[in-house]
Amino acid sequence: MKRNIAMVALPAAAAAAAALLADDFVLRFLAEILLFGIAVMSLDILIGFGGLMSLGHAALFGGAAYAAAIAARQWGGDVALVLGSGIATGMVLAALMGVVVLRSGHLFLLILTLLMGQMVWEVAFHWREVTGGADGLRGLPALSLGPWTLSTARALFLLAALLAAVAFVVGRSFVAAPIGRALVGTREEPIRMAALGYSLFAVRFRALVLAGALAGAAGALFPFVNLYVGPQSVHWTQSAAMVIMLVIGGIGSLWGAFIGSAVYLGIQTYLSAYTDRWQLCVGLVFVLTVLLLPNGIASGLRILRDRLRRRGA
Amino acid sequence: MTAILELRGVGKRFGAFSALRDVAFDVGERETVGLIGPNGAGKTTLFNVITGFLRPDEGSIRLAGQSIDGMAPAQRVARGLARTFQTAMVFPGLTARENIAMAVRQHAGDGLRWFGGARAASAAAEIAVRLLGDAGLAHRAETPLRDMSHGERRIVDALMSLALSPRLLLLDEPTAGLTRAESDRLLGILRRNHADTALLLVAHDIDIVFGHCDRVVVMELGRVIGSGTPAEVREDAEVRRAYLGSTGG
Ligand SMILES: Nc1ncnc2c1ncn2[C@@H]1O[C@H](COP(=O)(O)OP(=O)(O)OP(=O)(O)O)[C@@H](O)[C@H]1O
Ligand SMILES: [Mg+2]
Repeated sequence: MKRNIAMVALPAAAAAAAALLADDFVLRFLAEILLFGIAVMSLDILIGFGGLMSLGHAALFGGAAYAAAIAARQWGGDVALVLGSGIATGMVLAALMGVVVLRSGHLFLLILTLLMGQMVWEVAFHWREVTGGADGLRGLPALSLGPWTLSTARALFLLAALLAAVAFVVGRSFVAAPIGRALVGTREEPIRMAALGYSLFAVRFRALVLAGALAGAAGALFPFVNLYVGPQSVHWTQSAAMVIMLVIGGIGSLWGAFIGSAVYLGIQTYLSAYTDRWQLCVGLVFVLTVLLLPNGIASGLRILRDRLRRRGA
Repeated sequence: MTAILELRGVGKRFGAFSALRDVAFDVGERETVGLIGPNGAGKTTLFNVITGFLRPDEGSIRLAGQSIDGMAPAQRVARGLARTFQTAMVFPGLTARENIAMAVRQHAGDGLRWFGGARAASAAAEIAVRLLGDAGLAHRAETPLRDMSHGERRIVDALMSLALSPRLLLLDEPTAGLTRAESDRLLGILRRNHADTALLLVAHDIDIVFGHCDRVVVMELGRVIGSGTPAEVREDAEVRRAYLGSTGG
């Protein structure tokens, strides 16, 4: 019980403090971390819990970002419309991906998700009239929630924080439920799962569609935080970046996704001001994590917490 | 006697090699049938064909009077067919309780549940703990399978299949690598729980097969070369030559 209160109170207090103290640039940056964190967390459900390695996750996130931006330009920035179109797009793309890739072995899974992702990129890059082609889409209307306009960095940050909290609760409830345990079963011993009467496809398809919904929700807000969406957001290198964030943060922990996205985007944002070689730094952090903390920073923090507790007791 | 399983003319080739040729026999409801034969006789291949993990090249298979040809493994399980594997096939990273609960939930139709899943999960966990308790493994409920002994893993493996309350359970050498005491315990658990379940049991240990089975089917080189009660099979000249003779029986 005490732990549950702390789990709600700590992030809520951190979000409130950030909203009060941070400047606009930092707030937008934090919102971006949270949105990528949600997408990486949904990728963790696939990779960490299902053992389903995907290199096409940015297509779900970025595809939803385009859909939300296009819908907002057409019909205005109502939050429900924006989130709804992003979630729907993420789910539809994930379902299409699932039908194509989930019957194949694991090496093909990697390549097929990559190819599917690149097909989305092709559409984003070449369908100029709708997606703006290489220039992407700018000049989006402000988000609105009923009578309120959510255009300030603070409002966008709080919206992203709320979405992250909801997404985290949804993700946790999924992995704790029978369907999430079945997903772990398909990772541990798929043949046994089939012999117990589970349809591997049904289990994995559900996980993929859920991941699409979460990544889609995060992607929907991204253009409004970033004030822009371009083809880079659906490119396979963006998918690879999400996998790197996941490994740094910690596969299989859900909340590690947010740490991984903070570390990666922190290096990208603050180091790229000084050097073009920020990716070298990401690589270094990646290698160090893999060598020193094979289960990511999340596992390191967990070990630290247990030590402190033991000392306290 | 009504048959739960009917095999007719089942054949399976791997390239030019015939692993199964014209296999035909029945297993009756609630019957315990032993399946014996030397290494490479095709026993495991036959299990894979019956359970849908391999597609036969010829023949037909009926379960409880209905054809199951072409069905996926999961569909066959839904019709009451369960199996174990020659090497214990469990979820090594999950606890014994969670291993069995995975089977219980699927059997209860809650395997893919999300909403309202907490109640289904705790009900399944309760049943799993009870099954473990019946098998004398209550104290191991929270132990991950990778930390359990070979014998304990075999018992959990069998309990997973029993949790499906199958009408027919195929057991591929469930006692291999177990001590005598462990084998007896495992067979005791199966016997106690299989009042309504027919068993098709592969075992190399002749004492186990002749001691526990109502009927015995003997295979060699992909073919059935004899079948009958344990006493009849013991007297069969061809069986003696092919199998029992070679083990000194
Ligand atoms: N997937 C496969 N591809 C090619 N040959 C196979 C395959 N599976 C089995 N075989 C061959 O089919 C024959 C029967 O094998 P199977 O495993 O069914 O025998 P078994 O009776 O279970 O033997 P054991 O007592 O050693 O378990 C063997 O000669 C084996 O090498
Ligand atoms: Mg075998």
